Formats: sequence, structure tokens, C-alpha cells
Amino acid sequence: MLGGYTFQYKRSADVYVFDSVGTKGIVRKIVKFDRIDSNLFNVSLVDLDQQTGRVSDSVTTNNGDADQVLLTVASIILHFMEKQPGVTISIQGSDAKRTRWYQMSLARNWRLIAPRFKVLGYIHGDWEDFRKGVNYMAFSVEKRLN
Amino acid sequence: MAQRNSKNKSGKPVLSEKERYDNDPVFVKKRLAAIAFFEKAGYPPGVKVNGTKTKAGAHKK
Repeated sequence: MLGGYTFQYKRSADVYVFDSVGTKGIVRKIVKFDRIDSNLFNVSLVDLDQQTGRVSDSVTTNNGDADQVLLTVASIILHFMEKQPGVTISIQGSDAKRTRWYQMSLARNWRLIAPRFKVLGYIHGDWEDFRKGVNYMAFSVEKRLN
Repeated sequence: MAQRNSKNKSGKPVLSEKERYDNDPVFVKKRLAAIAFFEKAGYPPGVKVNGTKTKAGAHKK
């Protein structure tokens, strides 16, 4: 595991759930994997409003725990990859700001991420090895073979 | 837990928790956005299409 929050896999819903605990209180997060092609999955991170049951990807939580959230998502991706070996996970923010958030969080936590994942970034019409300080449009992640 | 084919009082089928998430507009939007992105950008190298691993940018439409 990479650290971050404790998470739960909800088998009945086929989603992962964890609570972000920060300056704005407790925010329930849901992580869902959707198959795009045979071994390509897209991962989504959304907030769950526990009163209405609705999910949202447009709320900016600002809970002061961005790195904790990113490491939790990374741990969840590892867990998913152990269940489904050989898959590639794509990560795209719902807008440029969120994609940049992923990029900055990846860069800040690169020491923990790099040994476990091969990360590619998409820029100028091509995929390349992730480099810090580059504004990518999307990311793909594979588990490194040990 | 709701059965797959059960219906509520208004006659609409009761969806399972998984079906509700799969059909939630937010997740549908994100899934379709990802599909549209990969149709344009091509798959990352290593993704299997029809059992064959792609090279960088392969499978562009």
C-alpha cells in the first residue's frame, strides 16, 4: 500500500469508497473503474452527497488533503490491478484544472508512485513517459513488474 | 437488496446499486468522455486490442 486513507471495496456496487477527512469535514469519495476496451479501464473519482445519494465530479472539495486523496486513489488502483492483472488505467480530470491537479499530485508523490507504476502522459498527440512540470491532457498507468 | 427485475410502485424497474452507478449521468458522462478521448488520441502503448498489444498512438480513428 502507498498510504492514504483506508478504503473499502463495495462488491454490490463494484466501486471503491473512502472518506476524505480535512478542513471541510468528512467527504465521501467514490472511485469507479469503467472498461473502455479489453484491458483498458478509465478511473473516475467523484464525491458522494450522502444526504441525496447523488455523485458529483464538479465539486471542488478543497478539503486540504489532496495528497492523501491521490495516494488513496493510487492504492485503490493497485488493489484493482491485483484483481485484474495486466490492465492499463487511464486517468483524465473532468476539466483542465483537475487534470493539472492529478499532474501536480503525481509529481509531488513521484518517489512513491514511480517504483510501482509506469506512468505515461498524453501531450501533443502522443504518449510519453511522465515528466514533472509538463501539462498533460491525460495519463495512463500500468503496474510495474517486480 | 433489490432484485434485478423487481419494480417500484410506479412500475419502474428497481435498479441494483451497481446498475445505479453504471447508469448515473456523471459516470456515463465520464465513460463517454474517455471513449471519445481514446478514439481521437489513440490508446497508450501496451493496451491489448483483439489480443494484440498496441504501440504508442495505435488504434486512432
